Amino acid sequence: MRRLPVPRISLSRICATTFIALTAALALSCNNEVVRVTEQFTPTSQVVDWRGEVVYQLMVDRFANGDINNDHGVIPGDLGRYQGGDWQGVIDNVDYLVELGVTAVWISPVVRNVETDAGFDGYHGYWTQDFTDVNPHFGDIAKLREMVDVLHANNIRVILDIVTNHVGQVFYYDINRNGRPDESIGGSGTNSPLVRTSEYDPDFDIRGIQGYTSLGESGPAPTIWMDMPEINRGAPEPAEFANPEWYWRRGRVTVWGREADACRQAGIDPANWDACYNYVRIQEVTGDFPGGLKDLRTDLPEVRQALIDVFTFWITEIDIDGFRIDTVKHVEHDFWVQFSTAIRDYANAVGKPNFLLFGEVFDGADWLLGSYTAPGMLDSVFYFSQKFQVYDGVFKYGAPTAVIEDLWTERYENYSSIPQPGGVFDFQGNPLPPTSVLVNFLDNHDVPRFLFDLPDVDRLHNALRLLFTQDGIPCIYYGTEQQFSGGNDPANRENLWESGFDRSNPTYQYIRSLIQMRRAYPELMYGYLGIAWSTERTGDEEDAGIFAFERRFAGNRAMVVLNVHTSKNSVTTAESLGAERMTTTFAPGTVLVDVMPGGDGATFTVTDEGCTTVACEQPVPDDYRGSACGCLLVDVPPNMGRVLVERSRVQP
Amino acid sequence: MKRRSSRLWRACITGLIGYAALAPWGATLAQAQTADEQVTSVVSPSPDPPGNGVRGEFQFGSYGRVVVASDLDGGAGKEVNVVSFGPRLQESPYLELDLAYALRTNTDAEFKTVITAALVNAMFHYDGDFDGQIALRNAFVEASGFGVEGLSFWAGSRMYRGDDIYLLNFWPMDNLNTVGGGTRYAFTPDMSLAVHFGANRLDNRLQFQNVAVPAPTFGTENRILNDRLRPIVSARWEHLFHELAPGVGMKYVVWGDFQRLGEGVTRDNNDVEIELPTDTGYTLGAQVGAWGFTPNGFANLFFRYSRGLAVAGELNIPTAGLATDRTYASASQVRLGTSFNAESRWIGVTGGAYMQWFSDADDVNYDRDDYAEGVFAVRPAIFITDHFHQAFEISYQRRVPEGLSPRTDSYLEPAILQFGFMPTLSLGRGMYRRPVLRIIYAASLLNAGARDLFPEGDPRHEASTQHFLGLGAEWWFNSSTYR
Repeated sequence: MRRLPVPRISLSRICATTFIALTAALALSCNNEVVRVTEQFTPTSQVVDWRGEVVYQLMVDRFANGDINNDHGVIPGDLGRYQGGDWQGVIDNVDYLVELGVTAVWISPVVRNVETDAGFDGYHGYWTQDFTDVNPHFGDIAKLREMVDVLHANNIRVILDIVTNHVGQVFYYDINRNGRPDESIGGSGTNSPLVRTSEYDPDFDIRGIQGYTSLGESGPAPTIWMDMPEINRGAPEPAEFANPEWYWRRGRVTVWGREADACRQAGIDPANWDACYNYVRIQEVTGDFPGGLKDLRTDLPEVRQALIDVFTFWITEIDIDGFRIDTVKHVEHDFWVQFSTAIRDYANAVGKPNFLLFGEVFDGADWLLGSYTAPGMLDSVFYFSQKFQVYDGVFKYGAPTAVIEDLWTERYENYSSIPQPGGVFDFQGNPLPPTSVLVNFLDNHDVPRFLFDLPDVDRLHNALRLLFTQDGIPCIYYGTEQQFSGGNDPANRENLWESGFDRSNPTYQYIRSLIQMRRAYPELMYGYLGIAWSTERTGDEEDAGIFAFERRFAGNRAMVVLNVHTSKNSVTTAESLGAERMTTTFAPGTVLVDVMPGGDGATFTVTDEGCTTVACEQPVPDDYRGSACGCLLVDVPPNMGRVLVERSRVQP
Repeated sequence: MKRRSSRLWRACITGLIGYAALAPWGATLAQAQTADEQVTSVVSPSPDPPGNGVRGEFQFGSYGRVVVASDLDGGAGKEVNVVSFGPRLQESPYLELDLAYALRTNTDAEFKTVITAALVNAMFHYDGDFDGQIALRNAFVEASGFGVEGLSFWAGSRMYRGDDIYLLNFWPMDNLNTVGGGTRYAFTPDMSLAVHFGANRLDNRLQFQNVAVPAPTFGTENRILNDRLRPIVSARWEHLFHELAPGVGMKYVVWGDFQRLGEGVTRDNNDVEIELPTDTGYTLGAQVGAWGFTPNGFANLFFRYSRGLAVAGELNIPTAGLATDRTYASASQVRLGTSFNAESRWIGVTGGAYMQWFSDADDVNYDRDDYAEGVFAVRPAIFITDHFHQAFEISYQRRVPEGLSPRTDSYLEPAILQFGFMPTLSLGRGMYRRPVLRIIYAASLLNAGARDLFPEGDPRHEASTQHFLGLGAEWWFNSSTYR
């Protein structure tokens, strides 16, 4: 056998070589890229003017599934359970949002939730268990930061949904003191003095939930933290939130839909509306949200500070641009002064000025919505009264357009016209009052979709025309662009990926074009709004269904004319009824062209016929409230609208 | 001899100060050898062969270890490792019983039956549970001597593996646990090719699942919903070179394997049916070894590249780190390893190290499941007498993840520096002489990243130094695992 030469390598040289190689290999493996995501906070986006933004409400679990490895417990198709959407899915589909034209996403809460309760999952994010940890269903903190980075890189702001009112189903009331949570205690018939009561979610008691058995009351029911780690149902985090004294512990709100009975039960005469309403509000502010969501004592200074701490944490943790605040009306007003001030101070201090604070006041009472925009409180609220009265009442159910004018007029009575100190400002740095930045929307995750009960896409498109031409901040609920039509929760939380992210969907294309129009004519974003026409008429009258308004900004103007009538052309006059034609600040002789997407491009000339006019110095000031400068007769097909601008400003 | 001893001294000192991979190779020639070569000693020639000139030889062997240990804080000694294959100082009890019976004809055809039963969690005297787990590891027959020199066949269940890194208790290149069969042909006594074909069907709903369906009369009956047999094939080429210098030899090995899972469907705990796609995996490996530089001296260098299912191993089905199409084919792993041993009359040193880079199949950034890791362990010993020696061990292990800690949301690299002290009573001089009785003291220094792997309140999270003081025994003789 041929002998190979013995390698002339000393053992010591082998030792040294291997040592160096292994050390070098290990050093090269140090992960600089991952370390980068933990670097000190540096803001990567700034909002110039919130009125120029278009918000897209994105429910993370339902948008796109980018990583199947976090699909724990997913049951496809069961909309009350996790469906698998995650932050990777948003990253993978950011082009869809860019092409649509939205410039801000409102993402559902990111915090770790109670996993499941009573057969439903915490996919929506409103069942907080840990205020400062992320929900692993959506990814980890690195993935969340990556998503924000990607959105910012695509010029899309990120608004984080937060909950200050309550936590998840993290404790029960041991009413019968047997040391275990009982679904039902008490009698089983109609003659028993005890009613069926769930220790998870007992009815409201203003004294605090009381213990009792068949022998009578036994004092306040002990608060027992759940201990079910397999579904993350346990004492909340951070640890200070695991103090029972931080919760009202009065049980669930029971007044809704039965206010009179509830007052009577509480010993209050329902005829005494003020007293009854006060009781209703006490329940709303201190009662547990239905489903066993335990209400925090936001009246306590230590609770307020803890909430400020946990939410300022997220500003720098993931570089967000605003908060959408859940269940605002369930927290006392003076909390919002302290909370909002602290958040704004922090955001400004860390280089995030123009940080938007807006909230959900789920109520149709306009005065109540507006009360949360009082000085020191929120920058804005969702315009729920408009959603109910205008987008539902007028556009879906045919109420007269005079409702719109009445509501918009009340805005200046019910909402603050004073900018919040340290709050949002316009692109010139001028503070913006809440009246200018209300968040307008057609629907959301808590109400049936616009198309649910009246699947009429023409009406939807007409409503969208108002959404993108009125003042304030437009907000679209995900799936609208795909003509989703689900009813109440959870049917209105469909999986967007089942649409195939169809960019050829007519509504996707139409929203895209409306956003482009809004951006092309700045008055539609920033302009003063002056109502030009509204009507009480809804039948065959010549102006039935017409609503018109001017938007004026820096000398530029657009006249928006909408016809909500579903079956007839209407015009901007009621001369047959003795009314004058619609007035305008445009001078007679001005030729206006319709630039509404999907329109016919018709032209209309301003005249001095049909109304009383005066000679106006052109252009008029943005907030002009003087006499009419010209008369304008515009006809609009049913379920259509027009945006009229001077011919010289028409963009290709 | 003197020159070789002084070189060895310098090598040992270098290794103790930093970490080094010495490069002789030796004693652990395992499954690559034929059954013939494994019969190195006849315990008792059977007096009752079946007749017709057939002789039988029975052999009993075993590998096992038992240890009881304290953490010096009122609790039991605990294993702490942050890498996939960490030092084995703190390993738990384990037992293999090897039974082999070789039947040889007067034409020298031989059929050898090898049975190895393995037991874990069987320390009734420790945990009070009379319910140890037993598994059949080897249960195969190997046949040779059919008139074709160097040709052998086998079939059955077999631990089909090559050379290990003893101190890290794993086989870095080729280690298949398979039911199947194979053949080996030795072109020359030093050059051989072995191929094998096996299959498994793990007791896991992703490979095999029954579901209840209505019976034609009353009650339910089982229907097979999912049945995915996993075929595995391998090939191994080995070439030895003897007497390159007196007593010195070298070898190289080339290895490859492939496995596949066909498509299927499974139903999860929520009764959701999930389509399972076809999935594959393969390994390519190479090994260079040498032996004889010192008494019982050996050294090996290993390289292994795996993709897909082969990364997870044949006894696993990956359920995490999947691509969006639920396949694992794009997962990859690169591994470099070394093992070595060198001895003289008074001193011995053995050691091992590896590095590996792992990336799972999901295509996400900042994925903490992806990592690089490495470990080295060196165990020098002083042979004080023929039967008593004092061993020490130093090891360092580190993992470099691609993502953040889920517990702290910060970037951490778990690492452990470990020191061991083992006075040992042994059958004889040598790092691999067994049986041994020994006391084991190990101090493990955990960094913040290592402690972060355990939940708050766990003693391994709370203290940066973990102690292990144990008393135990380890043995092997005629074992299919160790010789």
